[in-house]
Formats: sequence, C-alpha cells, structure tokens
Amino acid sequence: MTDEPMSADAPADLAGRGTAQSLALGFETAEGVCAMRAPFRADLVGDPAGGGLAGGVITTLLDQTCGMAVSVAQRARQPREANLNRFGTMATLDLRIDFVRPARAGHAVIAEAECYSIAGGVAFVRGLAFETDRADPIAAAQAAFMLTELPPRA
Amino acid sequence: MSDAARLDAFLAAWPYARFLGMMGTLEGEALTSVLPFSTHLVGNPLIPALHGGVVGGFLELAALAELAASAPDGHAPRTVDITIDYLRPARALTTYARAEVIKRGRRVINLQATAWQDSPATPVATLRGHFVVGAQSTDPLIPAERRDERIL
Repeated sequence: MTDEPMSADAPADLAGRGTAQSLALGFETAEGVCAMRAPFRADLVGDPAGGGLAGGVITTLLDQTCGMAVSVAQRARQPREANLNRFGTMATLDLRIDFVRPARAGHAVIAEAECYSIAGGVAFVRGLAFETDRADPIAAAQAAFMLTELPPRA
Repeated sequence: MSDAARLDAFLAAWPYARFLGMMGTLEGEALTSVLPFSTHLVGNPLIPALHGGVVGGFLELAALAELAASAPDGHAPRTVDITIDYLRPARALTTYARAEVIKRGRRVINLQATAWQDSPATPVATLRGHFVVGAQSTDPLIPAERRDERIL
C-alpha cells in the first residue's frame, strides 16, 4: 500500500485501495491491473490447524479484485470519460467462492479477476486466488455486479 | 463440553474472527452471531456500507461457528463452497447472522445462513454452502492428486 492520494480519474484505484476494509487487511496492488495481493498476517489466519489466511480474507480479496475488474472494464468501454461519478455505483449481486484448498500458512495470496461481460446493467466477473501458481489455485470466484449509472453532473 | 464453551473456543481460536470483532450469543441451542460495526469493516465509504467480503466472511464464520458449536469435538469443518446473495447494503450498524443446517451427510453438510441488521425479516445477505467434515479437512498439505478424497 502506498500513501498516495486516490487519483480522481482512476476507477481501479477506488476499488484497489480506497476502502477501509482493504486497508485494514493490508491488501496491496499486484502485477497486472486486476490483481491484488494479501500479505500473510498472523491476525488474519482462519483455522489455526491449517494456519493459512482465512476464507473470509480470500472472499474479501476476490470481491475487491472482481470489483476492480468491473471498474477497469467500464473504463475501457468509456475511455474518454474521466469523471468518476459518471460511472455510477456498483453493487455486488452475488458471489460464489469455491474453496479448492486452504491457503498455506505463512504465504501471501494473490487474486486475479476478469470482467468477461457487461450486459443489461450487470457485470459478470470471474476470479482466481493462488499463492504463486495459477494451476494450483486456493479458490475460484464467480460474481455478478449491478451497475447503476448516475446522471451527469449539472 | 457445552455448546457455549465450544463456541467460545472457536471464536478464540480463529484470529480472523477476532480481526472482524465477531461475537456469538446462545439461547438454548440457537446461536446468533454478532458483528458490531467498526470503521475498518467499511467497503463503500459513500454510504457507508460494510465490505461485501466482510459480509461474506462473517456469514461463513457464522456457519462455521454453528457447526463447531454442535460438533462433538468442537472442530469447525472445512468450507467447500459458498454462494453469497447480497440483498441490501449492510450499513454502519451491528450485523447479526443465524445458520441453519439443511442436510447433514456423513462427510458433507449443506447449510444456509442469513445476515440482518434491523430485523430478520429484512436480511442484508444470505449464504448457502457446503462444508466437509473429517480429519483431513484442515490439512493444507495434502498432495494435489489426493485432494478429491477430502470431499468424497
């Protein structure tokens, strides 16, 4: 996490580092526009028998990264639109997480997400969480976001 | 060990439950999970609303707490999959959750949970999911070729 102020014309940043919860969890932006990384922290462990980051942390990381992917996709559709408010609001409709295996103790987790369609005011996103290898995932996500465009500023 | 003792042991043992600030109350065998509002849980600062991941994580913990409190050994099972439906913004208020086992199989438990703030009649989110019980369920070091065994 950097201490730079949020850039007004970068929707990805709003999702990427603008929330109190993501700051509290210590999420960092990772390589690639729709990727985030949750550094390992002992206070974020789930089942003490496994010792890895909790499922809830992975859920939050995937939700946040999926939201960021929607922002990026919206920006790609409206490349000349610089006013954040014109993007309106985004609400998660549903989020499915398949927990393939527990996260490993002591390891950071990376999430990547792709918004593969925006249709009828709904954005469809899939995401994957892993430590180092996409072929050895911790969790997979499928999410739908409702988009509400706000009227232009007067 | 009583349900209350198993619940307390679960909440004390899971660091992420403490990070969220989650608590639980038992009335008889009925567990209500409680998540007091805290600024570090905010996802959307404009409303402000709890992060969707917090709502999902809280619902998953509420499900695990329900299962741990009623498990003979007090151990929480492993989460296989969850689906969270977001019904209303979860505002800057205390959130409550209850979980209900739909079907308890030999290895797999099907469960649904509901979270609300003002009233159970106006839920903010619901979760349904599958949870697997068994000695291997928490072992993160099972080789990939044997992973299927954990779910079957």
